[in-house]
Amino acid sequence: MEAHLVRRPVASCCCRLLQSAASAAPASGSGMQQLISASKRLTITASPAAAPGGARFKSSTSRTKRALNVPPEPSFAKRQDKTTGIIFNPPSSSPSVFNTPFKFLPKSDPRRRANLPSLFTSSTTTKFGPTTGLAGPSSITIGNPPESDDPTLPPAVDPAADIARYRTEKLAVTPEMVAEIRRLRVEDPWTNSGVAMAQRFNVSHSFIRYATRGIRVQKEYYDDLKKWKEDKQARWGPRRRQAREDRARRLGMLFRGEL
Amino acid sequence: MRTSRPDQPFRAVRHQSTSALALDSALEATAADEPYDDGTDHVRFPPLERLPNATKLPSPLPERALTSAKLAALHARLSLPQKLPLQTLARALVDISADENPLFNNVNLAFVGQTITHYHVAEWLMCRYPRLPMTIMYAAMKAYAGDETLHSVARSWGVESAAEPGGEVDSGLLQFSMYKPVSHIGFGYGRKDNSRVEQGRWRRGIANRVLFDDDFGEQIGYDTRKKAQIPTSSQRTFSYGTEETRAAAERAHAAAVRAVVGSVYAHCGREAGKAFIRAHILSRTIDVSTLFEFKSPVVELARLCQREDFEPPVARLLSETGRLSRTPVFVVGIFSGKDKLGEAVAGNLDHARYKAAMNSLKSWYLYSPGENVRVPSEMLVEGSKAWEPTYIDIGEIIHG
Repeated sequence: MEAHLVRRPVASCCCRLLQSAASAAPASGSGMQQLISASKRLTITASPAAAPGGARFKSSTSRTKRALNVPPEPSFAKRQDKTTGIIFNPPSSSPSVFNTPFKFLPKSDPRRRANLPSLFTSSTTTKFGPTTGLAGPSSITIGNPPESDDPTLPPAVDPAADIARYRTEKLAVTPEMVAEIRRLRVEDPWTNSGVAMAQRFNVSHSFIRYATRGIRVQKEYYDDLKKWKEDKQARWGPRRRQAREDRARRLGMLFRGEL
Repeated sequence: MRTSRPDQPFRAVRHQSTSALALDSALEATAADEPYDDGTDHVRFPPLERLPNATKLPSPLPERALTSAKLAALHARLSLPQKLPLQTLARALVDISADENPLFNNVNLAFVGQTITHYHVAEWLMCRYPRLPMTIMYAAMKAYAGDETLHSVARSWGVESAAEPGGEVDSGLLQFSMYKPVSHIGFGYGRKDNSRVEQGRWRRGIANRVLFDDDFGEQIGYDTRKKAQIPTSSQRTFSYGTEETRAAAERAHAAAVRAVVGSVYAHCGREAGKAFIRAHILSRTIDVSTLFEFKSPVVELARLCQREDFEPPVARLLSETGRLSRTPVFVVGIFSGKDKLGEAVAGNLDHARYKAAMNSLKSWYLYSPGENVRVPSEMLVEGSKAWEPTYIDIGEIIHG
C-alpha cells in the first residue's frame, strides 16, 4: 500500500503536500511559502463544493496575473542586518580584461604615476616568498593562503589544502633527495608512485613529477599502466563514460574561453 | 558575360598594340574555318552578334578600363585619388588564375600591397598590445589581414566577380577562375617538404615559424583548415560551391584588395597607402581577448608572479550563491597580496578559479599603452615630434 502511494501521479501528491504544508505553517512568510501559495492559487483544486467539475483554472488575465504576482526573493530586498553572509544582489557585471590591474602596469606607464594611492597600497615590491631553487614547483598552486592571511581580504578558496600543507613546511630539497627520488622511481615504479613518494618525502606531487622527468623505467610498467587504465575504463557504463567525456569537453571549452 | 570558353592553353606572351591586331586576325581565321552546326534554325533564330575579338584574350585590354562604368564607380566609391589611374585599378582586379602573364595580372601589386599591409598591421599590434604572445600575434595578424578578412573587405567595397574570366568581361569585375586555379601563391619562406612536418619528424616551433612560413605563421602550400597539402591543379576535381571554390574566391578577393593597397602605395605614396590601410583594414574591430587558449593557466599565472616578483597568487571567494543548489554561482578573484588581478564567475569552484586565472593572464597580455599609440612609421613624416621609445615587454611567460 505504501509503495502504491509513492507511485502516485505527481500532481495529486503535490496538492496534498502543499495543502498540508500550508496548514502546518500558515504564517511562516518565507519565500518558499509564497511560492507555494502562488502555485496553490494557480493549480490546486478548490473544495469540491466550489468546483464540482474538478480543477479551477485561471482562464482570465486578471486571475493569472494575480496568481503569478510573487513578491521578490528576500535576498533581493535591501539588507537589514549587516552581520553575516556574502550574497550581493544584483551582482556586479564581470570586469573587462582590457582594464589592466594596477600591479600589471609597467614602470614606465603614466597611469602608475597618476594613481598614487594605489602605489602605496599595492605591494608590488614584495618578493615572491622564499625561493629555494628546487622547491619552487611545490609553491605554484593557487589556493594556498599565505601563512598570515589578511583578515580584510575575502576568504581563500582552498581546494588544495594538502598542497598548502606541503608548502608551509618549507622543506629544503637537496640534490641527494632528488637523486634518491629518481633512483626509487626507476627501481620500483609500482610501489614508488608519485603520490606515495610525495607523502614519503613530504613534497608536492608536482615536484615529484618535475624531479623524475626524463627517466626511463622498465617497459612493463607502462604496459601494466595502460592495461590497468583500460581495464578500469572497460568497467564504465555509458553514463559514466558520457559524463567524463562531457567534463573533459567542458574543461577544454573553459580553457578556450567558450564558457 | 557568361560564356563557356574553349579549352585552349594561354599564350605565353601576349602582345598589345599593333601586333595584337595580327594575332586577333589569326584567331578569327581559325574560328571562321570551323563552322559548327548544332541544328539551330538560323532563319528563325538569327545568330547572335559576333563576339569581339577580345574574347580570345585571357583578360580585358587595359584601354577598356576607361569605358567601364563599374570600374569608375569603384574608383569613386573608394575615394581613390586621381593619381591612381583606372587602368591600374583594372589590373588590380585580374587574378593570376585568370591571366598568368605577370604583365597583366595583379601579382606584383598584391605583393607590394601585402608587404605594406602586414608591416602596418604588425607595427600597430606590437605598439598597441606590446605583451601579446607570438601565437596570438599571428592569429591577430590573420584576423586583420588574412584571406577571409580581405575577402569580406572586397565584398564590402562592392567588388563583384565575373562568372568566368576573359577578354570580353567588363574591366570592373574581379576576374579569377575557380576551375583553372594556379598553384597557391604565398609570400614567405616555403619549406622543402611539408609532409615531414605533418609526420612530426620536423619540429615546427614558434621560432621556426618566425624563420620559415608566411606572415601568419602558416606553412606555405599547406591548408591549415583541412590539415593537408593543397592539391595541385591537376589533382583537383571541381564542382561549384565547395570548400575549394570558396578558398579560391577568398584568395582572389584578398589578392585584389592587396593589389589595390599596392597600387595606392605605388601611385600616391607612403602616407596615402598608410591612410588607406588605416581606413579599410586597421579600422576593423576584433576582440583580441577571444583569441587566447590556455593549457594550465594557474601554473602560468604563478610563474608570471614569480618572474615579476609579485606575491604568489591566491584565489579568494568574493561571492557565492546557491552552493547546495543545482545551479550554484561562485565569484572567485585572484589576489596577489592585496591587489586583485582578475575575477571570474562559474558554477564550480575549480572552473571559477581557472577562469579567474585566465582573466588575470589576459589582462597581463592585453596591456595597452593607449588607444592612439604612436607607431614608428609616424616618424617618417616631416616635422613629427621626437620619438619616445615604445614599451617592449621582456617576453612570454615560460612554464613547465
